[in-house]
Amino acid sequence: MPRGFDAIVIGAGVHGASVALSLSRKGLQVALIERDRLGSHASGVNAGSIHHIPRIHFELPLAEVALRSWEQMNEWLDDDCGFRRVGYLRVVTREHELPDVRRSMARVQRYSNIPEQLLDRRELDSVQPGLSEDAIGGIWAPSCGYAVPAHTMNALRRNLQAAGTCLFEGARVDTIEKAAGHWTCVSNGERWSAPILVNCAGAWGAAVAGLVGERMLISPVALMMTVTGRADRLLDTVLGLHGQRLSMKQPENGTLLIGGGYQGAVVSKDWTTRLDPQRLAYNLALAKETLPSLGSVAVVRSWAGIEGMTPDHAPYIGPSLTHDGLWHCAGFSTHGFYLGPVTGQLLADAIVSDTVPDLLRPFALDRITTLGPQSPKADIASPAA
Amino acid sequence: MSTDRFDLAIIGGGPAGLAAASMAFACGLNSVLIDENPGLGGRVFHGIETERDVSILGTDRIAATTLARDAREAATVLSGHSVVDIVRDHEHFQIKTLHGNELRSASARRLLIATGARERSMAFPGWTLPGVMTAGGVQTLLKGARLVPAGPVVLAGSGPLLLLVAVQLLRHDVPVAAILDTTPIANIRRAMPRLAGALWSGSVLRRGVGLLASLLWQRVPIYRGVNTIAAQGDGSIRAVTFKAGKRTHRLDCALLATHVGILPDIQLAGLVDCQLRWDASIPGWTPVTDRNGKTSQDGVFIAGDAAGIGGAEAAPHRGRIAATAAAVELGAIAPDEGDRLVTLDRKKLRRLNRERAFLDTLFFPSPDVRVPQDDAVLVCRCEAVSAGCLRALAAADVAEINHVKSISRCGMGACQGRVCGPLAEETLKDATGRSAEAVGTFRVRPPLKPVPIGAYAAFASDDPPAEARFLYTADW
Ligand SMILES: Cc1cc2nc3c(=O)[nH]c(=O)nc-3n(C[C@H](O)[C@@H](O)[C@H](O)COP(=O)(O)OP(=O)(O)OC[C@H]3O[C@@H](n4cnc5c(N)ncnc54)[C@H](O)[C@@H]3O)c2cc1C
Ligand SMILES: Cc1cc2nc3c(=O)[nH]c(=O)nc-3n(C[C@H](O)[C@H](O)[C@H](O)COP(=O)(O)OP(=O)(O)OC[C@H]3O[C@@H](n4cnc5c(N)ncnc54)[C@H](O)[C@@H]3O)c2cc1C
Repeated sequence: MPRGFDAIVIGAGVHGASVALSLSRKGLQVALIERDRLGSHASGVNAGSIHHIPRIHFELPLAEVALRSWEQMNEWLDDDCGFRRVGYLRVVTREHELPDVRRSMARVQRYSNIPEQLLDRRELDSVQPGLSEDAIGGIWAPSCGYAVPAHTMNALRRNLQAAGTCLFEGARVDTIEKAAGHWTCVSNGERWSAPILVNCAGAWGAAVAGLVGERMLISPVALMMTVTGRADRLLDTVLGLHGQRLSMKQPENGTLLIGGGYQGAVVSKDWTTRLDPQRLAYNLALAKETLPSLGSVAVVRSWAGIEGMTPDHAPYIGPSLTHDGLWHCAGFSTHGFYLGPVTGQLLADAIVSDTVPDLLRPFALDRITTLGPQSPKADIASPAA
Repeated sequence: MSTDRFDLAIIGGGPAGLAAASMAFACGLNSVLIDENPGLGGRVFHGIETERDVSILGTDRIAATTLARDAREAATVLSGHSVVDIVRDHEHFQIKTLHGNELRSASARRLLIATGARERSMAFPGWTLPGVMTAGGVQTLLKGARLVPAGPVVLAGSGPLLLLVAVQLLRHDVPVAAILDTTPIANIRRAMPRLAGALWSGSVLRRGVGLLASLLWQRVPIYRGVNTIAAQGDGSIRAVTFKAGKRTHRLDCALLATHVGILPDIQLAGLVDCQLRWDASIPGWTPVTDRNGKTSQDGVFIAGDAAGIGGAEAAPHRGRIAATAAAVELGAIAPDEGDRLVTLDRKKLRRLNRERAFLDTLFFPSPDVRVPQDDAVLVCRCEAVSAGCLRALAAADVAEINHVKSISRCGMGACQGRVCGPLAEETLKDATGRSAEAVGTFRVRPPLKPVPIGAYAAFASDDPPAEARFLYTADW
């Protein structure tokens, strides 16, 4: 006999945990089923950046709400999740990019009320001293910042416990059956059943959808991150580079977190990751070029986490196109951490009321269904060629 | 940046690596021998190429100098190179080393890891005070930097190295105030049945007796059955307090050197994903190997103490066996030829194993030196995580070590868990009653040593990787 619930959520990343928590708080009996451990994948090992640039236009209204949501973490989780509103500075180093910078700012203004300012070199220095001589200006977004992923996932775990959500860790769902309006998920002989099923399986989202015969376009990539030992205060903001891939910040403990979306390899046999030293070196070289004083700071660890990419780099959020009682929320394409809490709350509302709110509408699954590869075919999913 | 290609890369220039280099040459391999120290010799023979007066436990100095000289003839030697990362690239291993402030790269078809052992840390109140260090650390200062510490010195713990360091200090005229022996009395009873075999088969024990005699002769007080050690002082150590039997003692000292045994250095094995197993006789994690030192990872061999504590005398034999197996795999020599080459090494090893069994039993560390008793004691000094914090997590059912790491930051500092790993694992095992396998061990991530960002930058190519040109919405 399967254990009966009101809803089953597959995947305990930031999205699954947030949806499950919101549904539980609405009085539903929720089973949150996780293959490994809550937060052990992208949601617990990401860079923690909270900013809206350079997102696709239809994500900007949601981004605005998401930025505000981090200010309110204390009310939602009784924990600040390490959120610091230090602002996001997107440095521009190449003159020919200025038109694109203006376009990007106009887009943000058109679709949201997120404040942004274009800084000249002098203003840049007052926001972030020590930048490379090549920096000619930058976009300054003071309402952005960072939070601490591991800290956030622990806060979610505590709240799930308090809300009475049943969390099952170490349980990989590998069969899903539907009978008489009820979903039954099976993992290693264990069974759970409920009328509502939510797929929050991140990079594995397409694989889980595949269990019920629904096609989604999500391919896994391994994103690399690097952390240094403690250093003097070198960085006051979350720093990016326009037209190039770079992301860095220096949390309060003094270590520097450096990334930007450089890819290692996903070993598809067991979905472990492998670092790519060449790309890592490029990432660090760019960091040093942007902030030259980084040169003598020592790297202590690099790692990679698995993220699900969609063809247009926006997530799929919404009801299944083929089944009643099934919802998807996956494929966050490198920027799902900052969206997690807000998406979870909105999706829970949508599920209970069976109406998708305007903010989530653009992410519907019928947006794109036929582009790109579905999953890696080769033994190693090579980085986007 | 230049990349040199070799048949075999031997990492570690101790007795295992040195003997492996000569054997590899004899089998016709083109090999590279990499060690982070400025000279060859490893831990036991640290500084052997320059030091005139080295006293050795276990093997003869002349034999060691010969080993080092032969190895220099037999292989390309990269001294002063720390291996910080290894990745497999089709048929080759790309080995990244840090040389000064520069990253270098070498490539080889087979790997032979001979990185030796590391000391188990002992955590007690005051262990993070300046003036408290490991006995191995003191020895490295004496042998390598020739720094003679100021006394009086108290040595605490268990095992042959403790006595050796005491004698070496005395030889440098450093006053040794006392030796605090934490060896559990029960171990002696358990080890006795193995004594005869051990005396007959190896030399550590005989030399140990010699060391003991010399300490007694110099009237160094030895306290037995010691526990509840604490370092006292603020700013730096002034005294050590401890219990021996029912009495509490206090001794003034300027340096407290601790030693509670050694563990295989599993950093590189972990980095290249070799399977590990829990060896209850050490106790500690040990790479899984066959009798040739071949690991679960294709093309990766391990020899010497890195493959499981076997001691300095066994190390060269293990190095020769592994190098021969690598040569057979590469097709440089025939399998039966390989067997013939190492017949004597195998025979010698069988004999030495009897002594090892005795030593392991005698010096088996008791739980109270493996697990900090006091909740306030720091386990991870980099991130200031206390034993009490780990026990609180264990009570909340968080007991897998990598999970504990992500919650508490234990092991995330500059040492990346190299110092605190075994301490944290033992504390969690003790608090939860779970097995070593359930608690697990820290995942090893590159770089193995801190590497300046500038070194990576110099190593980077100017061509942006594909994803850097494919931007859309994708950077954070
Ligand atoms: C601190 C310490 C002191 C010891 N002192 C003695 C002693 O005095 N007498 C005794 O009989 N036994 C001693 N031992 C035991 C020792 O392990 C011996 O059994 C013997 O040295 C083992 O030989 P080996 O060749 O396996 O390794 P080792 O002799 O330990 O040689 C390993 C070598 O690998 C190098 N290495 C490690 N990691 C890297 C890396 N990432 N990159 C480059 N090089 C690397 C090390 O610097 C070292 O030179 C000591 C052990 C320790 C840990
Ligand atoms: C290195 C890195 C840096 C990043 N930096 C940022 C950043 O700075 N800012 C930002 O906003 N975003 C960032 N991201 C993206 C962000 O981390 C992700 O978009 C987000 O965490 C996705 O959350 P999720 O809950 O959808 O997926 P996940 O966290 O991957 O969770 C999905 C879970 O589903 C489980 N699962 C899968 N299949 C099954 C099954 N069959 N049965 C049971 N469970 C299953 C998995 O084990 C996993 O735990 C980064 C990502 C990475 C990898």
